[in-house]
Amino acid sequence: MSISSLRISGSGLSAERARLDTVSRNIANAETTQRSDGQAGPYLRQMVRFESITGEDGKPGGVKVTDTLELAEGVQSVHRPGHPDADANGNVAMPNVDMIEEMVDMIAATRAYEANVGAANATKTMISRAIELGRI
Amino acid sequence: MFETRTDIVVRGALNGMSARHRAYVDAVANAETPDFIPKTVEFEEQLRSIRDAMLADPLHADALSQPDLDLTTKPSKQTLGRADGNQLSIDQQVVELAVNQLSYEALTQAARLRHDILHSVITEAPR
Repeated sequence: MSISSLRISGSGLSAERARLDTVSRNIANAETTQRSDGQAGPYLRQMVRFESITGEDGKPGGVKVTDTLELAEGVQSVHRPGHPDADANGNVAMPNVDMIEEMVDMIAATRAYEANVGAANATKTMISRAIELGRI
Repeated sequence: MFETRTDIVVRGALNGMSARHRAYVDAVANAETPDFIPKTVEFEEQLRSIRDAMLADPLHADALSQPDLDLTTKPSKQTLGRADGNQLSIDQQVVELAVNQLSYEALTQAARLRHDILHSVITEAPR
């Protein structure tokens, strides 16, 4: 029984946490109409991309987050003349964050996180059993 | 010195289950990775062949004491048509993981019992 299985579960936990962080960021910015540089513009929904890792020994090595994508499609204009970020016509570009989609993604990430915790616990138990074999 | 055929097979099975566990843990970690194909490690048939060879030729059983098992991962038989190309069913994978874990624990207990018997023979035998 190898410690590397625990590292693999650790990579899964980190990846799912990154995904949850992204979902939280999306939900928090669901009504943000200004970019971080102060310019008017809608917050764009973000999404993490996962990639499978192969260990140095050629065996399975877990997962990693390769990048965080910004999705531009789905931005809608809403007519709000009094809004500080409204254009000359009184339209404001709103973020493309869909709450239902985010909630579903959050549940899936939580479930995957829990599965990784379960896998790590299984590894710990198996390592303990292997150690017990050596006890006299 | 005291290694029997059973010990050799048990050792091989523990190694096999350990490699399989790693493959399953990797699959759980990649539950949301696009195009991921879950893998498994198959060793039972190889162990069966080794056991049969030892039974057929007990005099040369020592030659098989270090069984050279092929523990490379192979695509598992799960086929789930997910939109992102990932073939993993997390529920099925967690069950497989639990089955493998329980088998590993059962085998370690059996090995432990064998060691205890051997230990009793060594320490409790009349001198």
